[in-house]
Amino acid sequence: MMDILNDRLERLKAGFAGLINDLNSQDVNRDTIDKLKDIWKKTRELYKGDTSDSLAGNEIKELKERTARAERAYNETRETLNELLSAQKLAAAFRATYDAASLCGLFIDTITPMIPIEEIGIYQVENAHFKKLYPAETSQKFEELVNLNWDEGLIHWVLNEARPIIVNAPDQPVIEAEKGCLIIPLIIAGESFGFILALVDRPPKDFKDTDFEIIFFLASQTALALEIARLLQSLTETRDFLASILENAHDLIIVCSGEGEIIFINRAIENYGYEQEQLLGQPVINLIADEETAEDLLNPPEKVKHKNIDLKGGGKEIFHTSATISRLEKPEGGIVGTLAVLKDISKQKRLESQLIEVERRAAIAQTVITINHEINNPLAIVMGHLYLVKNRAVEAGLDDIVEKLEAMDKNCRRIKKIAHKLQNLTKSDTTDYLEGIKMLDIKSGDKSIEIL
Amino acid sequence: MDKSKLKDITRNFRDLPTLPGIALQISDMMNNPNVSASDLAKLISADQSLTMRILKVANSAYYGFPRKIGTITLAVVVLGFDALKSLTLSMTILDHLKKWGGADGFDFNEFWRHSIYTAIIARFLSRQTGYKVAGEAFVTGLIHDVGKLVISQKFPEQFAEILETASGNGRKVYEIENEILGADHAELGSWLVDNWNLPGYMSEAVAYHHHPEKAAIEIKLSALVNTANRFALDFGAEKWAETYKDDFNPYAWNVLKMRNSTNGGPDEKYYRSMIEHELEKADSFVQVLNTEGEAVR
Ligand SMILES: [Fe+2]
Ligand SMILES: [Fe+2]
Repeated sequence: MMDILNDRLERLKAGFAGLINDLNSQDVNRDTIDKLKDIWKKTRELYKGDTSDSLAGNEIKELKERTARAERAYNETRETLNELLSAQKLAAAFRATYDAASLCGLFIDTITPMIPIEEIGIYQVENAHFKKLYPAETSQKFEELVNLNWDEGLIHWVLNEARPIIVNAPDQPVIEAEKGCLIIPLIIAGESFGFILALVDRPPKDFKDTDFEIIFFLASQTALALEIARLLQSLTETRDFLASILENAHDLIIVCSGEGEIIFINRAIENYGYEQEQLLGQPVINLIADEETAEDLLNPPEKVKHKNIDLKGGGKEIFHTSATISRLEKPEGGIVGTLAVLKDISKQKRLESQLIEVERRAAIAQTVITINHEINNPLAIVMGHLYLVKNRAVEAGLDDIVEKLEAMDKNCRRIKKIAHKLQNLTKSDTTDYLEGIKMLDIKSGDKSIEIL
Repeated sequence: MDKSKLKDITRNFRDLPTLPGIALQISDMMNNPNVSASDLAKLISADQSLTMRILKVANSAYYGFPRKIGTITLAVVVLGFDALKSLTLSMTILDHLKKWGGADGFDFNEFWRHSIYTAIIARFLSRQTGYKVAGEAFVTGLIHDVGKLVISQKFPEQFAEILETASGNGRKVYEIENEILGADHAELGSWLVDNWNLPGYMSEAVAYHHHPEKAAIEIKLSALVNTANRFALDFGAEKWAETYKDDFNPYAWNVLKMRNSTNGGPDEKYYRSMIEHELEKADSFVQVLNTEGEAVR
């Protein structure tokens, strides 16, 4: 008895192996599965439920498991194939565009051959409000339909359930409705962010399980593409915004690689007499006037702030800058480059020296006033008396005294001349008096002065 | 129990009433995605009482649909094919099992509560863990302990013995069943499910609901039912509780990729609070499922 059973089992197994082969060669169809089930049933009848732990019992168990596995695989493959076929076109088209309107249009083009659509709209939900993404124009009647479903809470229900539904269109009879209203949620990572609503020219009762699966699958693809498009757009906007900030910043911004080459430099470099392009890829050290400060730029110890760095301008002039330098570090440590923000302080330096000059001139002006007041006035008195004394001496014929008085008068006039020259001083130029000590150069003091 | 007795069990099995035709048709439909809403509606509408109860469930707070669902077709396209198929199958199986009743000492109400809780939790967990067909989980959860009904019905003496043995010590009931009967309620249940010609995944998940690590194909479904069963024991049904509460099966927990707490083990608390809420929500649903069938009949 056992031999016969085993023989028949062997034959069944051989048939089974052939079917498994079919499965592997992907010629799977409903037939194959039915044959598998048939074999499993025959096998079971053969043993009449005698599944005690004999060898045969185990064989049956294995057969049963393999049949079930094959059936599942078949169902999954068929489902996947169906979905893939209709989605293939959509997916390929999605790759070509990131424009939300085109994506919505593509979805509608794909779904129209499957379901007769009278009118459709794609909506985004944000802060408990909905906003139409597509198309630009919808009929008044359709807008009313969307509002009705929104107000009734039907759309919220669909968003919560995360599953498409179809209900009778509002003007249809309850039992034999000819038209339906299809509501499909748009879901990303388990979160609904919008919905598609369509007025369809097909009775709700004719919808199949597969219809919903394909619709939902296509809608999910669309949701994904829309989300990617949205992310991409906001990413581009953010990038452009940041780039324009960097590019148009008043301060000079330089990013160097770890090897000290310039990998980014903003337009502020034009104020230093260079073109952006001519510096990209060049060693940053070429820009630096004082080599001692180069180390800070190439390998700053940590964040360097308000460091004075002198740059060589394009026209060989020197620019004084105040720099803030940061290390750009790898997450695992080590430097990948440096970021330097440099503020041109040449003008500031110039202003500083101008200020000092102004202060000096003010001091000189005060000196001049003092001289006018404290020297000229007594000098005029001295010179007046000198004139009288000299006249007396001439009358008395004291020639040697007259000679001395004339020398005194001459020197008094010299003092007066110097005072006059000081009054006309414009610059605080100096000449050397003694080593280390400067004196005002009053020889050039013949220009007009506006200090007072 | 020796092998001859095991055969007795198997033979006796055949005396158990078979499922009504509608259950078998629904069961066939479960694997056929080309069923239209009107096909499914036609099948359900043939049974008046079933139709009324399904509409009642569909309009219950559990589903929270904002409009009145007046036709089965609308129920199908609104609640989903998967939910409606599993709901219909569940109701016919429930009606069928109710007719059996149970032996003395078998608390039928507790059995119901435990079965329905397990079904609802399995459905909830299937959504949480991304198991594609929530309806499969629901029905399988509902019938997972059907083997106990078989034992109480067909082997009342052994059933009493099992109860007595189990009440004294804290041993696992399915071990005692194995000692006394030679098979446990999980195995017996899977034979019955097979016999009813229900989909194969159900019988395997029923067979391994206490040992999901032994499942060969329906690993995820077995793990789902195992975990749902364990959660269900925490919510009422103390008398039904399989006397000895296992820890959560770490294998099942991992298969389902469920959340772990910060100190390693399963994060039961996280799920338990949500399940509590889910069971509250399902209360209206349970009432219809539980009592209406008898009232209408
Ligand atoms: Fe159990
Ligand atoms: Fe259980």
